[in-house]
Amino acid sequence: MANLQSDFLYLITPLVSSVIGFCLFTIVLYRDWGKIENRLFSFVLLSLTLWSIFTFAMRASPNVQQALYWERMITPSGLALFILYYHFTSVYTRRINRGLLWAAYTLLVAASILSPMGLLHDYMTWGEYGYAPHLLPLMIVISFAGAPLIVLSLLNLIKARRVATKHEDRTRLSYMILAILLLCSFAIIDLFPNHTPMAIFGNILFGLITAIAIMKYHLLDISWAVRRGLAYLLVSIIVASFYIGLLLLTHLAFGEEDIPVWAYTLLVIAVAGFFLPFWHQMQRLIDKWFYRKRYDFLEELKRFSSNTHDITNFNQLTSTLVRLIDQALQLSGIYLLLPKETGELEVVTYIGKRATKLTFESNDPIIRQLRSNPGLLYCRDLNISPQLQFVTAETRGELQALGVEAIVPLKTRKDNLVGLLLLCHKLSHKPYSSEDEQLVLTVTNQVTVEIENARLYETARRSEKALRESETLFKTIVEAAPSFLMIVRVDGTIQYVSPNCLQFTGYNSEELSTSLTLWAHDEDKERLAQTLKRVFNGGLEVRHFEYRALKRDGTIWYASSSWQPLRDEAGKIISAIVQTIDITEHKEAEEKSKELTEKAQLASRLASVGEMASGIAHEINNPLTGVIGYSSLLIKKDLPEYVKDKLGIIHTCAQQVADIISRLLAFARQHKPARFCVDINEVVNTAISLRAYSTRTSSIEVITQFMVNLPHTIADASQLQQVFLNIILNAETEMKLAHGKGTLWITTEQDDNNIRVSFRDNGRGIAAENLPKLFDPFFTTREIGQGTGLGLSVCHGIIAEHNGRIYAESQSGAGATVTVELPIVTEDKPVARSTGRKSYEKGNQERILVVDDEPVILDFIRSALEAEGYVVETVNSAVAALVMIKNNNYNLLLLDIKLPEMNGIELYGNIQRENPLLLKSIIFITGDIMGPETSEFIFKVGVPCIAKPFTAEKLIEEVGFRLSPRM
Amino acid sequence: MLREDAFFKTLNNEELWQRYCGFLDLSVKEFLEIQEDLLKQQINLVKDSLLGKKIMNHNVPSSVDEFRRIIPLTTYEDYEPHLSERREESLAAKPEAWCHSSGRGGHFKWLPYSKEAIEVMSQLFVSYLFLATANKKGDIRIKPKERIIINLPPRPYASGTFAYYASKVFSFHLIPPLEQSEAMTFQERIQKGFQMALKSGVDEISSISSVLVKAGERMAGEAQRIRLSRFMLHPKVLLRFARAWFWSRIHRRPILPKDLWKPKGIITGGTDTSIYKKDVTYYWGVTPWEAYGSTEIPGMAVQNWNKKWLTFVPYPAFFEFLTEEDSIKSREDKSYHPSTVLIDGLEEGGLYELIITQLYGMPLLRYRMGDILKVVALRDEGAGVNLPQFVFHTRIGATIDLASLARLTESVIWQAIINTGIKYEEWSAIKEYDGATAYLRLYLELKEEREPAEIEHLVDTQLKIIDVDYRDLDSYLGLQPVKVTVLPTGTFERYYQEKVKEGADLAHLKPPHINAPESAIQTLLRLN
Repeated sequence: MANLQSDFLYLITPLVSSVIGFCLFTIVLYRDWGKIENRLFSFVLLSLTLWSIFTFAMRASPNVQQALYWERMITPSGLALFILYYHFTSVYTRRINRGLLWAAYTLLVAASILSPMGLLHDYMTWGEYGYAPHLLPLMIVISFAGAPLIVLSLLNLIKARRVATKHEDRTRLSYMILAILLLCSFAIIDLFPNHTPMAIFGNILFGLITAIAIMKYHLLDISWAVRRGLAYLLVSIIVASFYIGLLLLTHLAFGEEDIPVWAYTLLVIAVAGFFLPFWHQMQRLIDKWFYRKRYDFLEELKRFSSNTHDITNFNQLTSTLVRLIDQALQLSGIYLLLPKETGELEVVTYIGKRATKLTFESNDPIIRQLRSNPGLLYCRDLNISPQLQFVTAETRGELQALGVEAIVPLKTRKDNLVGLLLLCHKLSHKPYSSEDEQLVLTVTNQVTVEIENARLYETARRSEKALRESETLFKTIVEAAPSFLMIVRVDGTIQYVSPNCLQFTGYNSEELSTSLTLWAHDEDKERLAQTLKRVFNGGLEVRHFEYRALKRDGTIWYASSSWQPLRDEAGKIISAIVQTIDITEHKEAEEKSKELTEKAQLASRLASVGEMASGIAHEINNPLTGVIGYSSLLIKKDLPEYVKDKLGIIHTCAQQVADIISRLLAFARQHKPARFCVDINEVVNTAISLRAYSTRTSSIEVITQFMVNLPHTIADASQLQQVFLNIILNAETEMKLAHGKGTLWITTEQDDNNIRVSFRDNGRGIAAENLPKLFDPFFTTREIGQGTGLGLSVCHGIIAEHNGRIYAESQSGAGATVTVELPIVTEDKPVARSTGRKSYEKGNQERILVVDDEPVILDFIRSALEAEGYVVETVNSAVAALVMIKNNNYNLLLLDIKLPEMNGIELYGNIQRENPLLLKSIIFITGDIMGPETSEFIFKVGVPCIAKPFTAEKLIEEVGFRLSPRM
Repeated sequence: MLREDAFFKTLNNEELWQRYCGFLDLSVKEFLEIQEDLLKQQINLVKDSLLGKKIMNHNVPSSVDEFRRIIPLTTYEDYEPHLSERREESLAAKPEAWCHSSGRGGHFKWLPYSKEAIEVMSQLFVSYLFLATANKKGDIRIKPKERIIINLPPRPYASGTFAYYASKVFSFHLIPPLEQSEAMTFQERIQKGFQMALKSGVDEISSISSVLVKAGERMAGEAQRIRLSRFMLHPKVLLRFARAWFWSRIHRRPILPKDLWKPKGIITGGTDTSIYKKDVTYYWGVTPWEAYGSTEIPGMAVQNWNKKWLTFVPYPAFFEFLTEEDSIKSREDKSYHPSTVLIDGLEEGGLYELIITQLYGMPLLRYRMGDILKVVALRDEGAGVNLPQFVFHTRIGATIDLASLARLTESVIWQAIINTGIKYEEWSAIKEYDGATAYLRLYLELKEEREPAEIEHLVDTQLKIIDVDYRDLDSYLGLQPVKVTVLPTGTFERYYQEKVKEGADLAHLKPPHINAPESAIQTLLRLN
C-alpha cells in the first residue's frame, strides 16, 4: 500500500487534471461568457475539475473509509460531467430534447442525494491499482442511464458535422468527436482490471481538445495534421538513421575503447552542422508538398500585383485574375462576369465549361442580395434565403449545369458592384473554408479596383474613339446641313461659325467673330440685341426668332434663329448655340400665300352673297315679268295720256328693279361670259365715251395714256366695260365729293403677260382701314341710299372670272388708284351663239303651247302673242303639256324649266323620245338663274332661252325669230 | 430521396427555418421586391398566351405600376369559356393539374396549375407543418415521415391536390393513405383516419375546425361507453386507451382526443377556425394553426408560429388590395376603375378586398377574390414579423345587411350562437322581410330543449356584445331583428342524406351557413 501511495503518477494525474480543468474553465468562461455554449462547456470543465479534485482526494485517502467518503462525491460530479456535456452538445448542434434534459438533470439530482446516503456504493476495497468502490444496484442503474448521454452527444456531433457547410465547422466538430472518442476509449480501458486507471488521461485530453475546438478560430485540418506529422516522422527517422549510423561507425572506429568526450562533442557538432541544412531542406520540401498550391499562388499574386499597374490590357488582367484564383483554389471552373453597356452582367473570361447563356440583369435577385450583403453567396443559399428562392429556373439551371458553388461580388471601395466571380466546386470536392473565402475576397478586393480602372480606361478609350467619330460626323452634318450653326459668347462675339454660313453670307470668320449684330439689318439690330440679352441674362431658350440680315454684298435675306444657352458646370451661362436658317423663300411664299388667302376669303364672301342674291332674283323674276310685260303691253293700248305716263313710270321702275336683279345675277356669276378677242384700249375708250357727258358736266378731266399696240386678249367685252364704267363712276363720285372736280388718269400698259389698266383720281382717297374691305359685297362709304355697295364686288367677280386681278392703292387725301390686271389670252375659246337678230315677222295663226306654273306669266304670254297673231294655248304642268302635244300639232313650245312634278328638262327628254322633230321648236323661259345643272343643259342642247323678267318685245322678237325661216 | 427530405439531410436547423419560414423575416420592401420580380416573370410568361393577350388587351406592362394602371380587374367570367372548358392551348404553361372550387357560387370554377406553381405550393405545405408545430421562432419539430391526418376534400379540390403533390416532394404518412382515402366519402375518411391513428399515432392533423370539435364532443360523450372489439385489443390501441384512461382519471373528466394523441400541430382553415379555436385547443391539446387560401391560390397567407394573425406569403401570388369603399363602388359602378394599394399602402384597421395575380404562368391576372380582409396590425411584434397582419373578415355577399346599419358576417353570427351556450347541431341564417323591415332568420337544430323566444333573446344579446353596429339597431331603431326557427332533431342529417342520394358534391351536402338559397331552406323545412 505504501508503494502504491507513493506512486507519483497515480496521485499526480488527478491533480494535473484538476489544474488543467480549472485553467480551461477560467479561459472558456472569460473568453465569451455571453454564448450559452461557452457557459455550458465551462460548467463541463468545472465538473471535470471537481471530479479530478475528488479523485485526487480519494486516491490520497489514508484509509478505505475516507476513500469511500470521497468516492461518494466523485459519482455525482462524474454524472454531472456527462449530463452537462450532453446539454452542451445539444445546444451547440441545435438538437435540443427538453424531455431528455429534464430526465437527465432529475437523475443528477437523484444521484446527488442518493450517493451521500450510501445507496450507490456501500464500501471500498483496495486493489492492485488503488481503491475500488463496490457498486450497489442503484449505481449500476444510474451508470446505465448516464452512459447513453455520451452516445447521444456523439451522435449529435456526428449529425451536425454531416450538415455543416463550412470547412471550419466540420473540422471543429471533428476535433470534438475525436475528444469524446478518446474519453470513451480510455474509459473502456478502465473496464479491464489490474492496470493503471486511464480515464483521468482521457478526461485531460477531452477537456483540452474540446476547449481548443470551441475557442480557436483556425484549426488544423486533422487529416492534414496527421499526414504532415507522419511525413516529419519519416524524415526524422531517415535523418536519425544517418546520424545513428555515423555514431555506430565512430564507435567501431574507436574499438573497445571509450570514446573521449571531446570526440563525441566534435562529432555531434559536425553531424549537426552537416545535417542541419539537410534537415531544413527536407522540412521545406515537405512544406512545399503540403503548401504547393499556396506557394504557387503567392508567387503568382506577387507577379500579378506588380503587373496590374499596366491597365491597358484589360483582357490580360481579367484572364490573369481568373487563372490566379483557379490556381489557388484548384477549382473545376471559374467565370468572371462584368457589366455590358446595358448594365447586364455577362461572362468575359472563364475557365471550365462554356457558358454563353449565363447573364444577370442588374436587378436580378442574386445581384440585389450581393449588393446588400457583404461576402460570398453560396448557391445553396438559393434554396434557403427567402429572397433567392424565386430565382428563375433558367438561372438556377445554368448555375447548376456549370457546377457553380459560390458567387463572389466584385465591389469597389464604395461598395458598388462592378462584377461577379462564379466559383465552381473544388477539384477535391471539399467545401470552401473561411480561409478560402478570405483569400478570394482579398484578391478580388485588390483586383476589383484594377479591373474597374481597366474597364474605365477601356470605356474611356472607346468613348474617345466614339467622340472622334462623332466629331467627324458632326462636322459632316454641320457642313451639309441647310441651317447655319454658330456659338455666340455672352459678349455677343462669335466663337464658331459653320462653313456653310460663311459661304452663304460671304463674310469670313474674322469679320463675323466681332459681333453677331454685324450682319443684322439696321432696323432689326435692336431686336437682335434684345434677344441676345434675353438668352444670356434670362437664360431663356428662344425659338424661331426672325429678322432681316445682310449678306456681305448688301443683299437682304430673312433669318430665323433658335437660341439655346450653354452653361458651365456651375450652371453659369457661358455661350449660346445658335441655329439659323435662311427663310427668304419661305417669307416670299408666305406673302404670296397671304395674298391668296385674302383673295380666297373675299371670293368666299362673294360666293355666299351671290348664293343669296340668286335666290332672291329667282323669286322676284316671275312677278317682275308680269309687271314689265303687262306695262309694256298696256302702253301700246289706246289709253289716256296720263295713264300711259303712269304706266311708263311703272315700266321704268320695274326695269330698274330688273336691272338690279340683273346686277345681282351678274354678281352671282351665273351667266357664262361671252368671250371674244377684244382690244382693251377700245373697251376703255367706250367706257370713257359712255361717261363723257357726265365727266364733262362734273368738270372732270380725263387724261388717257394708252399703250400703242397693246396686245388683244380674249375677254367678255361687255363685262369689262361694266367694270371700267364702275371704276370711272366711283372715281367721278369721289372727286366730286372731294372738290367738285378732278382729274382722272387712265393708263393701259403691258406688264410681262398681263395688261394693266390703271385709273388714278385725285379724290379723297381711301382710308387705310377700308382698303381690305373695298371689294366686300355691300361695303360702301357712301351715305344710305347713295350706293348699293355691290359695284366693286361685281367688278372683282368679273376680273377674277377672267383670271385677272383688281386692286386699289391709296394714300388718304391723295386720291386713289384702281388697277385692273388681265392676263393676255390669245388662244380661241368657244364662241357663244350669236343672238343678234334684226327683224322678225308677225304671227300667222301658228299654234304655240306655253307651259308655266305661274298663271300671271301664262296670261301675259298669251296676251302678248295673241296680239301678234299667234294661237296660244297654255298649260300649267309638264304632264298636261305631254297630253296636249300628243293630241295636237304645235309650231312652237314655250317651256318653263322649273315645274312641279316633272320639270322642263324632263319634259324635253320626253318630247325627245316621243316627238323628236318638235325639239327644234322649243324655247325655254326661266326665272331660274341658270344654276349649274340648267346652264349645262342649255349649253348642251343648244335650245334658245328667254330669261325672266322679259318684256313683250323681247318675247315677240324671240318667238318671231324662232318661227321665221333661218337666216 | 424526395426533394424536401434531402434538405433535412443537408441543411442545419437555422437554414431549414430560413428555407421554410424565412419569409416571415422579410421587410415590407423586401416583400415587394420579391413580388415585383415574380410579377415581371409572370408578365413575360403570359404575354404571348391567348388568355394573357385577352386580359392584357395586347399590352405588355413594363412595370408594376403600369401593370396596375392598364390591366383591368377581372372575375372568373373574363376567362370564360377557356377555363371551364379546360382549354390548355389558351394558357401560358401546360398545366400539371386542374382543380375545381366547391361550386358554392353556382358552378365549379376549374383552374389550372402549372408545374412550377405546384412545386412552390408543395414547399409551402412543409412550411405549414413547420409553423403549425413550432412553439417559437426557429423551433423545428418536424422531420420527414411525419404521420398526418388530412380531413380535407380530395382531388380535384385544391386541398386534396396539394396534399397529393406535397407527398411527392416530402415524405409523410397520410392517415388513411391517399390511395384508400380518395375512394371514401368524407365521413368515412374521417372515421377511418382516427381509427387508424389509434394504432399508428399522429403527428399533425389538417382538418376543418368544426370536424375536430365534433370529434372531440363525440368522444367526450361516448368514451365512457366504449365497446371492446378485435381492433381495440391490438396492443398499441389498448396501450393508447390505457394511457388515455389514466390521464382522464387524473383530470377527472371523460377521455378526450388529447389523451389519446399528442399531435404536434393542427392545421386548419376557414371561417370557423377563430370560432372553434378554444374548443379545438381544449379537445386536442394544441392550439390550431390557420392558413388562408382558396382554389385560386391554396396558400396565400399563414399564421405566424404564435398562431395569432395571418401574414401573406410572397411566393404564391402577386397581391393588391382595394379599399372597402372602392370595392363597393366598383361593384356598383362598372365604369369605375379603382386604384389598388400594395402591402406597403395598407392602414391598420382597414378593410380591403383582395386582388390577386397568379404567378408561374397561371392565367388569373388582377383577379377579384371576393374576400374582405381586415388589417389588424402593421406588424406582429410578438412574433417578430414586420409585415402587415390580417384576419379574414368576410366573403363579398356573405353578409346579412340589416337596415343598412349592421352587416353581419358568418363568423359574427356563429360566434354569437356559440356564446349563448346553447347546444346546437347545425344552423343556417338568411335575411327575411316583414313588410319593409328586414330581419335575421336563424334556422337552428338543437341538441337540447329551448324555446325560440329564449334563443332569440340570447342571440340578440350576444350579437349586441360582438357587433357594435348591430347594437345600434336597437338604440337607433328599437329593432330586435333576430327570429329563430327551431328545426327538429335530425333535420340537417336528413338534408345531408338526401343530398348524398342526389349525388351532390361535397360542398353542397349541407346548406350554407349564411344566405342559403331558397331551395335549400325549403328542403330544410320540408324535412322538418
